[in-house]
Amino acid sequence: VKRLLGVALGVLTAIGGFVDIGDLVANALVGARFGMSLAWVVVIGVVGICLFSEMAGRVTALTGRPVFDLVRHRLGPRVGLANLIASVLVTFLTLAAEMGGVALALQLATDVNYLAWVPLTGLFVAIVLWRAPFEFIENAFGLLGLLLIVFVVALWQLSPDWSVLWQQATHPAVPYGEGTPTWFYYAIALLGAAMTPYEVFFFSSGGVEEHWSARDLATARLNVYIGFPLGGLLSLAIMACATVTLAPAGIEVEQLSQVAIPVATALGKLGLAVVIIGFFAATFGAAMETSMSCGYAVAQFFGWRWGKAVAPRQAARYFTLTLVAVLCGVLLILTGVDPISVTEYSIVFAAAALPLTYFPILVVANDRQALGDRVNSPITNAIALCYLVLLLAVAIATIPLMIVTAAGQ
Amino acid sequence: MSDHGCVLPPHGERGIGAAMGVARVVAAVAVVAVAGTGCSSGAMSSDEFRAEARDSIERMVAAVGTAGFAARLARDDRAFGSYVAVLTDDAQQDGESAQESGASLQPPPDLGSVDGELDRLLGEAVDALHAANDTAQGPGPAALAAQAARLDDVNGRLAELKGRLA
Repeated sequence: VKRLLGVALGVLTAIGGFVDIGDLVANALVGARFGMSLAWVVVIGVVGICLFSEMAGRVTALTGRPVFDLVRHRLGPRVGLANLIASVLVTFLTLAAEMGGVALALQLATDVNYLAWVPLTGLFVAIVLWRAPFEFIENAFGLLGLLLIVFVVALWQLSPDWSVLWQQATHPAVPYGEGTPTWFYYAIALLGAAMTPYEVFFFSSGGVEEHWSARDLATARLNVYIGFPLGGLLSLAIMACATVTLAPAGIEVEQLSQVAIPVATALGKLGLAVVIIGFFAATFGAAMETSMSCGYAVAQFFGWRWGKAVAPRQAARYFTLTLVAVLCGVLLILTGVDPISVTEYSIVFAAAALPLTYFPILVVANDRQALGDRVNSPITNAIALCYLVLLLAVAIATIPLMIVTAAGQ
Repeated sequence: MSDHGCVLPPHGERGIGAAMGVARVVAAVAVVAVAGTGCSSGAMSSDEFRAEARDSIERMVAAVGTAGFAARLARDDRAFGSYVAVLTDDAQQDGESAQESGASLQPPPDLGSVDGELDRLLGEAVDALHAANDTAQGPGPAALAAQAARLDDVNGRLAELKGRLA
């Protein structure tokens, strides 16, 4: 029973933890502007994150080491360093976006300008990072993030024409009046939101924090194969809510406040309260995960001591780095840069950096020295290679599309 | 030749913020591109003007539509005052940005009157957004409900002008 509860908790936190500020903004923005015509990207993204997270989890469970610890040994310091720099920059940008999201959620609840909340958000993140155990960080905000299921309830309550939504999702086409490059630019943004690199860092490093062994492999797989797809359904519900409510009114999502409109319309004050708490939990949880991921990536690369289980004095460089990342994130948002813009950039750059994250995972997951006969099967490798080709194409296309479309405008 | 001299093609501030470093890079690329063309463009072509004007209208429609939702949520008592106030404030900011974008357009001679109509209508829309926001921040959500009809009226006329620019 205890094991079953553990699995259930893991699945629930995987669902609640799947959606962050990038998913909230990208799915609402795309739904309002392109309807469900890009729903296929969410499906591709979810399959991809499941595929590579399973590999990362397997590597961790069988070796007791996080993926990126092995990457340095397997690929050498030069490739590892390039990987590290790109990954940390993207993760830092995501951290700043998440903290901006927390501040915006607090603004929605209080009508106090989000800039006033940014320092307090940073302080709160730092305190929780310093004081709270890993399990609390992983479970509490993941479970609270489940409140975003309110989007599914709202969609049901809005009584949409399901056949129209299904038609749009299954017959993808560039909507009238939109350019094909813009459509693909937002497809890339959605993919970056679904396959954000920090999710794999955190998942893999979390496995080490929780002392996974081969016995935990089944649990890790269940978390990935059930939790992430259900999280993807949440993303689709956000997209569908925007399609049904915002698109007919000609509203293009530029603010977090607009993302909540369908829920308030369908469910009133109670739904609105739930969705704002959900925004807070999803972004706060992701802020902690991203800040820890910055520390994980650097500490693992340089071979420093790291982890929540280690006393701060014994892992001083890891904790300092994590807190410096939080401080820099606070300072970035305090410059007055629009947090939603930071979010949009973070997911687009995440998409551009995806091969740097996922190629090493594929290499390590085929390392017989580390995994013995538990290396990837030929089918897994075939699918993963298809993904790598796709991710490479995405990485090459991202910056040109950003310039051609004036960043999606 | 336009009186306004050599100007960059106007682009919106929607979505991606101009403050980001990468936006500056994109802007720098645009500057280089304009410089490469000899910086000779003044007034826009008719098609360019229509496209940019439609874009400004779409953004204003989005802002007014957002404020309209705020007003209806307030009328139906489906949202807290704090949320409604944030929604109207965000809408006002987005609307002001759309107005700036529309005001910076350089119309070709044959579309001068349309440009005047565009400026007037965008101005009316911003006035409506200011009124809605002032009401939401001041008298409160209940009073905001009365603004819904005005916002819908402005949005209807924006949609009509956009249709004529198609």
